[in-house]
Amino acid sequence: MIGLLTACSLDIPPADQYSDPYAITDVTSARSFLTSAYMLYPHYEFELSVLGNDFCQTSLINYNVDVKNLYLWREDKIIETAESLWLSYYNTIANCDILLERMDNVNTTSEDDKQQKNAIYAEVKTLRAMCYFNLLRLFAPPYAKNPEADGVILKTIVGLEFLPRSSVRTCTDFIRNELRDVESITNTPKANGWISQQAVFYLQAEVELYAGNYKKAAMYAEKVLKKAHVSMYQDNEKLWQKEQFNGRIFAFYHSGGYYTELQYREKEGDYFAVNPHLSFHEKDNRKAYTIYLFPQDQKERALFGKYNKNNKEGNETTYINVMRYSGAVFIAAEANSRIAANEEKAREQINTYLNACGAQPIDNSVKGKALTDSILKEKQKEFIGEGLNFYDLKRTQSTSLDRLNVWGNGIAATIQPTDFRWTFPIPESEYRYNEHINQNEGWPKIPNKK
Amino acid sequence: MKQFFTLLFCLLFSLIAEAQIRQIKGTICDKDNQPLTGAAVQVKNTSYGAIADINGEYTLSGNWSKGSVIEFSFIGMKPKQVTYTGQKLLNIILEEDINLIDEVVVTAKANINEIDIRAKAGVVQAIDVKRITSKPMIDMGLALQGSVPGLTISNTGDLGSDPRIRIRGNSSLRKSNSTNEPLYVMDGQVISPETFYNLNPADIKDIKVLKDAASCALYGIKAANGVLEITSHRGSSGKPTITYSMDMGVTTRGRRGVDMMESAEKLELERLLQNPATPGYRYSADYYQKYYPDAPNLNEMIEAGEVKLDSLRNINTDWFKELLRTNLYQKHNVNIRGGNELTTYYLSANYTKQGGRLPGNDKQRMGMRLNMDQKLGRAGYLMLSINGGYARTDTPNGTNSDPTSLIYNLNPYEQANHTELVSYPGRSYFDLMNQYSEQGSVKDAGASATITLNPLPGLDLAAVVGLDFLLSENQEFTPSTSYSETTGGVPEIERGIYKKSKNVNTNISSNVRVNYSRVFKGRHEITLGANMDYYQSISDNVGITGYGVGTINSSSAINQSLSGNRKPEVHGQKDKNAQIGFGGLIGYTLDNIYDFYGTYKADGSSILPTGKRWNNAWAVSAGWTPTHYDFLESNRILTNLNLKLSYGYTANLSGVTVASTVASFAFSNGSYENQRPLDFIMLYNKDLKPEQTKSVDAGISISLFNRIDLNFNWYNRRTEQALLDVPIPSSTGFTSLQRNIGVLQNKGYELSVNAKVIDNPNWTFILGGNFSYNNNKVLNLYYTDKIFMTNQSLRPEYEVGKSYDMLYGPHSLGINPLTGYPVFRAADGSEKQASEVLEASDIVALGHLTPPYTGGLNLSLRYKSFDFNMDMYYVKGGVQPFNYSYVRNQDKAKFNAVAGQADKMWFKPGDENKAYGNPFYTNSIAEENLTLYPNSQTVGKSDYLKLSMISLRYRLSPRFLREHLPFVKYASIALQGSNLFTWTAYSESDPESGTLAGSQQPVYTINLNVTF
Repeated sequence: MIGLLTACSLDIPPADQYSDPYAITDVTSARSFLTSAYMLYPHYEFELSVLGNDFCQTSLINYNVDVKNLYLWREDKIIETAESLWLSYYNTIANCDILLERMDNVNTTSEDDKQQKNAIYAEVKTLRAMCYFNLLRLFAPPYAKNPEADGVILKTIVGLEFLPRSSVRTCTDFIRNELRDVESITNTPKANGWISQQAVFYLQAEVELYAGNYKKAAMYAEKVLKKAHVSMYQDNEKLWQKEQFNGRIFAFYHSGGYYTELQYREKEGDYFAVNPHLSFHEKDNRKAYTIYLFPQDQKERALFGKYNKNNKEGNETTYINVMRYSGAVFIAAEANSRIAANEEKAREQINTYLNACGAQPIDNSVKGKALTDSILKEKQKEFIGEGLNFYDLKRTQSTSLDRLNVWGNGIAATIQPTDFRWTFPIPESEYRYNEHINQNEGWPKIPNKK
Repeated sequence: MKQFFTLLFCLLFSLIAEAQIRQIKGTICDKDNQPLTGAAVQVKNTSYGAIADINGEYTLSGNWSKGSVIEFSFIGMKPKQVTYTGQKLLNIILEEDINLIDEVVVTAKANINEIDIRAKAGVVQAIDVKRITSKPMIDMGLALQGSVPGLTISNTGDLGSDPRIRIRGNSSLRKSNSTNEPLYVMDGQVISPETFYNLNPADIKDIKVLKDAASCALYGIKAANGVLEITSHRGSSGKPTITYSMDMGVTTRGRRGVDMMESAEKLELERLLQNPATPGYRYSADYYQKYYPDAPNLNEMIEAGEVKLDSLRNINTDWFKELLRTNLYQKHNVNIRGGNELTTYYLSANYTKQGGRLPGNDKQRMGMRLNMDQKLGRAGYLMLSINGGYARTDTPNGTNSDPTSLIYNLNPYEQANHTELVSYPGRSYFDLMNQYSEQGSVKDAGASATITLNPLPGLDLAAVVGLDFLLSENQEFTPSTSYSETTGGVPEIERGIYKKSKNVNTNISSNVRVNYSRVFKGRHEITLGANMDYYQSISDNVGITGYGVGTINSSSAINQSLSGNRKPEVHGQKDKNAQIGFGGLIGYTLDNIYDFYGTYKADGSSILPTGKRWNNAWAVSAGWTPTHYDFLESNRILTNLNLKLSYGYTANLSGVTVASTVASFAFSNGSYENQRPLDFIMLYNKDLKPEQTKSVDAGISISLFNRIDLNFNWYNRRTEQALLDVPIPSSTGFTSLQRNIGVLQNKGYELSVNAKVIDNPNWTFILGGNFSYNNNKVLNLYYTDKIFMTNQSLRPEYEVGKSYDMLYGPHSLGINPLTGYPVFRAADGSEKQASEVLEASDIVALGHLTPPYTGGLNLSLRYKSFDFNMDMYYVKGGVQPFNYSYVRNQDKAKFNAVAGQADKMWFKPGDENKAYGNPFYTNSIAEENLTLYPNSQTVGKSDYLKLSMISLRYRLSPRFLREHLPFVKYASIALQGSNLFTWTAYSESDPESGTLAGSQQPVYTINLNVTF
């Protein structure tokens, strides 16, 4: 009986889990947990490209009514997309917060460990800033429109809280501070999949461009470009290959299918093709990977290349490009083009890149707003299918967006820059359970909310 | 100490000294004075027994005391009991028994928690196992439907799906089986639900349903949802008897539910829906006139189209008949029992197979059981059991393959051949079949040992140790030839998916109990008891997923050289937890009239952190039996009257895991830049407490004329600190958190009546019925007064003062002839268009999803050697939303639709009195309102009355057998059927599960039962 009693201990640790307080206590477990946060970061490049101006519908679009409706900006599809975007970004943020709350308990025994701990700290903060930056760009009106408008919820601790939205300006400042906090931490990882110090600068440039702070944007972008080299632009196609490439600043490591939603069936073709208004010069080295020529609907069509090309050719996609040197060129050039005195510098920056790619440089006669527009047009071409165009259109609010018919023959609808749908709705999963939050203009409100 | 031993010695000595050898002789015959060879004589509760010889003569010797009960029994005869008063000669005549063979020898109780006083003071109801065995059904759980009031069982899907078994409703707001299912205890040992579902009814002697706190509290916190106690058959002393029973039969397609369209109507509907992907529109004059108005050969085109349509109209495939089939049912059961005065055994083996109505869906089960009982001299008994079983379920329904839905999706003008289908573009019928197969199997093995010692009169020491081992395997296979594989852009070498998982569950239970019961002064009976129990459960899961298997359904075909997203995967999960408990009980009975009972149990669980580990369960109860007063003892009208009252408290830990109380992390699959991710498991709640159930129960039992039994119980069960995964703002990064959110209540009553209408040697007619009502309500919510469970809900799912299984939606006044969308009745009685935003006040309760009223009716009729039994089951007061997936709008025009849709649907302004609304997406708010809420016209009452069992049995008379088949002791043949018919007003296929796939199929069999 006594034997039975002693054998019956109730202290049974979970067999296949680590539980607090012994879970995250060294740099190895901290890095492992950070890895999980990297992997949680959502990828909506396809959906944002569909919403932007990169694509036109194809003859197969009716086989997928959902993406067709998203292309046409039908509200229910935007609501659906917004719902999952919001949750995935905040889930990544929560995981970053869990790690940050436990960073103090991470023991270091060597110099290497200490450096690693600093790197982890810098990376987790930058990753969280990336999430907030995207949330802000999606769920708040453009900074230029009204910086005092409602931004997003800034959460810095784990667990149940009912917080109001901070203003766009407060959110932008929060992101700035987060990045300033870690900008001085030297971090030069070898693999493209980890956030480096260069990536921090790049993000700073992007945030300043967003906030219309062009001098600073140019300054940070040029800081990044110090390490750039023409060969990076000449070897552009390496961006889409599975090996490491020094032309990348940061890319999410990925395994498994990516961008597979575009294709209907291997033999038949895709739901979308590249917008016919975007064309590449014959000698432009980006053409070969951006455009995928494929016979569909009785003609050879310019389908989308890049990841889609990898899928069609059976090549693995191991990196989802987020920051690259050419991107810094566009930030610097755009920012400079908006500063009257720096127009020549802007042209020089963009033309250096275009020449290296074999594309047509921008003519000296193009000045002022036309120059900015040309740079933005080139930027759109550079980033076709990567979801950036949506952000740029929203940020600049300068042109309306046409929803094209099949193969670009005619216009199905036009989205004005003032359209309320540019600012995504606060999802019901937040709005319903948080009394302190307001819905964005134009979107349905819950009638019985307190 | 020395004195104690001396005392013990004296006591034992006096017991031995008192014993003396006694002897009785006599004959055992039937009423026609034919000797009953092999009939058994047994002094009850002892091992003294004898068997009648060829002339029916017996000699019984041993040292029993005066007042002992001697029992005479023979297979097929009613046992007879005689009190020993010193007789030397006893000639006995046994009467034929219409009931099946009963246990001959009663040794100790197989379940050590089954204490006499508990049955007096708590609500314990027995299930008539004989009726269960007459139901040709493979699922043990479903076979219990309607047997006891308050025990509700519902089928949830196709053959082999886990049933939903509840005692007195859901005690938790969490609706899953794991948080609401009763505890299953077999012969004193805790077994898993899967083991229970796969038990062989023929091995079961009785099943008791423990409903109130007083009867459950002995089991502690595991028993918060009630207990099902199962006792298996044991051996009997005497010559071995062998019983073989066989069922052979068929299963049929079952209820059709929804009538789908024939070709002509479907093509007309397609024309009206104007979807160019459908032939009904594509080949219609409307189409040509719209798209080719100026074509010179327009008339020829229209004519050619009409020819095409005519050819389609001539095809009329009934997919219900094409896809569903009748199938076979078979069951074999054999058991051997026998033994001598010291050792008895019971050995059984069984095999059952039930074929489903969908090709590829069936279930089979086989099992063996050996029970051995050994008498340990005068001191007590040792009971050993081992059992093993195997059950397997096959289904072709999976996440990407759902053949059942094809009944509703395939068009009547389509055929089972290789031509491309309209409903599934790019695929032929054969691209829809054999796309996927899933096989689940459960192998269980169990062993238990119970030792019961009786060192002193009234003092029982008992211990049970049991091991329940369950290996569940699941295998999923998608062949390389399947449509999804061939068209998914996967290279040929990587095609074919094979998944297998193995889960080993080990449950160890041990329980030691000391019980002392004594009658003082002939009127005060006192029972004192204490126990300690320990449960450990270990689950260990391993799974693999591999690709490139081609058409080989085996792990050996996995291509391990594949990389990328088709690389082989291995996953696993391991969990171990333990619970230890200490309990005590006290019972007092005065003159068999007043009963008082109290029990307390403290349980510690390894799941909770150290400080919160211990929780308890306790109960008190009182009983009053006035018919035991002298003045009522001989009353012929009121033969029994008993009243009971009990109150108890139980903590409930089910559904709580370690990760729900502290931050936990686990390695997950995948890698990132050669680094292994460590994932955070779930948002934890460090303030989490177990649920607390408090229940009160009052009951009355009445017997009139010894013929009519009435039983009535009222109960009220409150669950405090109710746990629920409640939605939280998604800016936390998570959408739900487990919290203690409030108080809820299950209140109801149960009534059962059993009447022996006729009882004479030739005729017996027994009518029985039961009825139960359960009402649930949220009494309090701690943080708010309402909880919305989904983002879309307008009406809170949980609201103070409201039931928590209610279906909500607007009240529809019909379809607006102008818009084609329904008009709702707003809160103020005014009309509200579906295209307006609905408000909470527009949403009304449409009805209970769980029917509050359930019950069963049964009838037994015997005429000479014929037995007729019939069982019905009914539910009332619930609603189920219609699936409505078979009403097609323009986008879904390619699928077949419900018959009559072309007439009943609104197509253009001015269409009046239509049942189905606008099929064209013209208003997003209206569409959303319709997707989110059922309305009063899209739900149906789920009331039904089911003829769940019919059995007609003919018993060959013992005399006939003795004369013509002397080696057969008992033989009968029967026609049996289960789930024969359902009467319901519900217009879809199954009011019970509410799914299109779910209805339980009828089974008809011939049964043969022979005992040698």
